Amino acid sequence: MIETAEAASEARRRAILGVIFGFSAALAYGVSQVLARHTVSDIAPPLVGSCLALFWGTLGCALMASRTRGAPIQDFRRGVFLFAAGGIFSAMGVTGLFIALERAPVVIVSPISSTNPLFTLVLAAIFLRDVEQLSPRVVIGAMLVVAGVVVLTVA
Amino acid sequence: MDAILLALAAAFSWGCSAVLIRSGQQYISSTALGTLISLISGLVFTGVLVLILQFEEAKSLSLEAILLFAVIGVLNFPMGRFFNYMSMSRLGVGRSTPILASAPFFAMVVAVVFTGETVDVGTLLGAGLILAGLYVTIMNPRTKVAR
Repeated sequence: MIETAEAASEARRRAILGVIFGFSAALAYGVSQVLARHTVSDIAPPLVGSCLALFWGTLGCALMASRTRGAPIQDFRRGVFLFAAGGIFSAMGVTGLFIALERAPVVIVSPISSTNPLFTLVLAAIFLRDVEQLSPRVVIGAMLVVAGVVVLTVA
Repeated sequence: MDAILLALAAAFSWGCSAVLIRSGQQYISSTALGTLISLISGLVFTGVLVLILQFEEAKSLSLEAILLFAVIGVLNFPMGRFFNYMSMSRLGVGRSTPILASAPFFAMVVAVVFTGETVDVGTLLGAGLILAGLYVTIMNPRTKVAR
């Protein structure tokens, strides 16, 4: 009984931390979007800028990773493959977005690219069935956020 | 038409990325190490594209540009991506993705507060939809996430 209560408390703590980390990420991305919108396009092509930002980000992350010790690694090679593939897909997304923005106005490209949470949910439902279960509320929440981002971009 | 397809491909790529990273977290628990691996692969990919397509532009960057991208890089990666992966490992990709997708809402708030941008009805409607979506996503106690 005590173990169950402790497990529930631990799950709640993880969820709260997850939400805080999620909002911290969104805030960091939001601030960098404002910085980029007001200054970046005039001083460097987006692809070069993205590469440079990745370079500095990698340096910062290497510093952080060098201070992290003792985290368990279940399967290093498989983990490296999946994280590296994830990084390449992310970079492909950014590159695709930049090329699209060169060929069409932002009011067309940005709302389409902001549908990515819907792709994530479909892919997660197919490939992550054993890892997590998606509820209808999560799907509705994602659709509302995507609709909001589309309206915000067009407005 | 090709721009629309490219934008869709970008959205699909980010979806693939999130699912691959969530899978990778089953094998490497260290978020810092995972973030670093994803950044190195992304840097190599983008670096090769720059070498092929825009090497001349890269050579002529000013010191101001290099410093500005250092700020953006730190905001986006050791902070943004690292926190995103931390959130993903705790909430699962289903609940963390909509939270991350709310970044334009924060961009709007920052732009209004610090750069004096104005807000119209459409902006308020968009912000309201995002907040409603976040409420529905976050107040969802039943999602089960494997560690």
